[in-house]
Amino acid sequence: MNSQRNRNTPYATAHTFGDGLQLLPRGIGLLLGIEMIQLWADLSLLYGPHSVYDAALLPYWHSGSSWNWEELFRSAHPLWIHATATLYSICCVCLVFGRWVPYSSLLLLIIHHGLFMADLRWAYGADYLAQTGLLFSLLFSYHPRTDSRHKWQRTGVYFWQAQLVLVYFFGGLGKAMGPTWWNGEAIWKAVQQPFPSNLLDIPLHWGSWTACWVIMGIAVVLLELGYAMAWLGTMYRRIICITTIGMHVGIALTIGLYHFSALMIWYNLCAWYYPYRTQTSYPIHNAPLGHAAPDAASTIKTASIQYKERR
Amino acid sequence: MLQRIGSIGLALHLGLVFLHNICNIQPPSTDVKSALDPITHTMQKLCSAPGFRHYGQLAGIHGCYGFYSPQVGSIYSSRIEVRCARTATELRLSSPGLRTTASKIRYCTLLEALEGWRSGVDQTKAPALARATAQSIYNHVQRQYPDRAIRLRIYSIRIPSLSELRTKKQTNKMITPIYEQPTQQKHPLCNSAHFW
Repeated sequence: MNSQRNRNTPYATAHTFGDGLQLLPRGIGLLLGIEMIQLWADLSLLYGPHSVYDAALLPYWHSGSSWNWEELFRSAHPLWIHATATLYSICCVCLVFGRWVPYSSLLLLIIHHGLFMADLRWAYGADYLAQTGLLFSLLFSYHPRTDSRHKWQRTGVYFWQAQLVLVYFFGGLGKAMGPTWWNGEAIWKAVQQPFPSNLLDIPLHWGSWTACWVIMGIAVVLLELGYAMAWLGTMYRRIICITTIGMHVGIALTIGLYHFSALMIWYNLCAWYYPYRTQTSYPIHNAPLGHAAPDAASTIKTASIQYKERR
Repeated sequence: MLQRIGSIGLALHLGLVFLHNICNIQPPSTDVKSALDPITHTMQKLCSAPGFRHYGQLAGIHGCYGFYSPQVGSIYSSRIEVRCARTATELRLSSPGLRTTASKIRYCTLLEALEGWRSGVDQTKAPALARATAQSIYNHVQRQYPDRAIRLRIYSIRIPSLSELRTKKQTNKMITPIYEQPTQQKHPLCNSAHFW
């Protein structure tokens, strides 16, 4: 089916191994943009002179980077906070529509760092991972126009996969170190956390099904520890991808961490799902992708637009 | 050539991720921990070198990826009562004026970050940062309602464990007041059903 479609489509829509990384910034831009829209109404309570937090306590939370945006916000007009958030949102929009991606990624990386990383009061796991995603967007999010750039982007896919493998492996290793993930207590406690806006409330009497919670706890640990098995082949990749996405859907629905879950699902799709194929050859004369002439499809030999499964 | 340098750079990036996480691993036994101490100490020194530290923060890899590990931490909640003496009305807030879910989640993580609140312990012995943060939240609400009487309470929420549910030892979430501003009063434990 794919080969039929590829035969009839110009290179502009060609699916390659590196497409996941090209799409990565679009999803990050969308999710960070939504998060900023949600935070907009409370920005003046989170940052600046009218913040919930006293200025005297800021040094406790300062992560030690060379600049501290909060101190600047405190001394500047409150409008600057919203101006910064506007710039942040514009960068997100640029990423979503694929405009000036490297520049937008760089600017967003700096602003995101200033708002959430330099000062850790309002940061949680999703912010760290978004920051890493922005770094990869900056390094790999362009349409490869030459063989060498194409190779670089393919290298990037492997590094992005390795990044996720480390994220999950250490998540799993940390959980495996204590007894509570093995006896189901941790996952039970996690789903009972009273975060706002979770869609599914797990009733307390479900706690009597101990075996289910034990199985789920162990499954989470094993899934995270065995995430690297996605490299072993198509079947493992599908299983790992589907179960990981399932786990994040569960986190979103029961704990209410939608932003974190959506981000991780997108990362997984970009790393593993997006047609995991490798192009066996490149367009004639290295014509830039996305700028093929109208008759380019007919001038390219059939073999040049064939793909094969890596494994 | 550039690609080779880039690949080496990315390998270093992953190496730094590895180092940061190894440093933050909490071994299950103290024996293992003490055996690994010299290694983790050296690694921590390496990670905190200025160049690596700044890069780690910029790349978002300076934390570790141990979400909810090795166990799920305590859960805290706040309640702020704003009482108007003139109209004898009381406004109850769960957070100091935050309106959106996204910011309330971040507020929850702020309270969790103040690990060290302990129920049943004199609140003056709570860590300085936890007390200062509570004071800061209190001051903020007082600025919002200058002519009202404000009372801030921080609660610890204890979820019944699976074994407690099985043996019917505890069948409800227990809400324990652990901090109160301006003065501390003795409050009985209450069930979550009576809290919200």
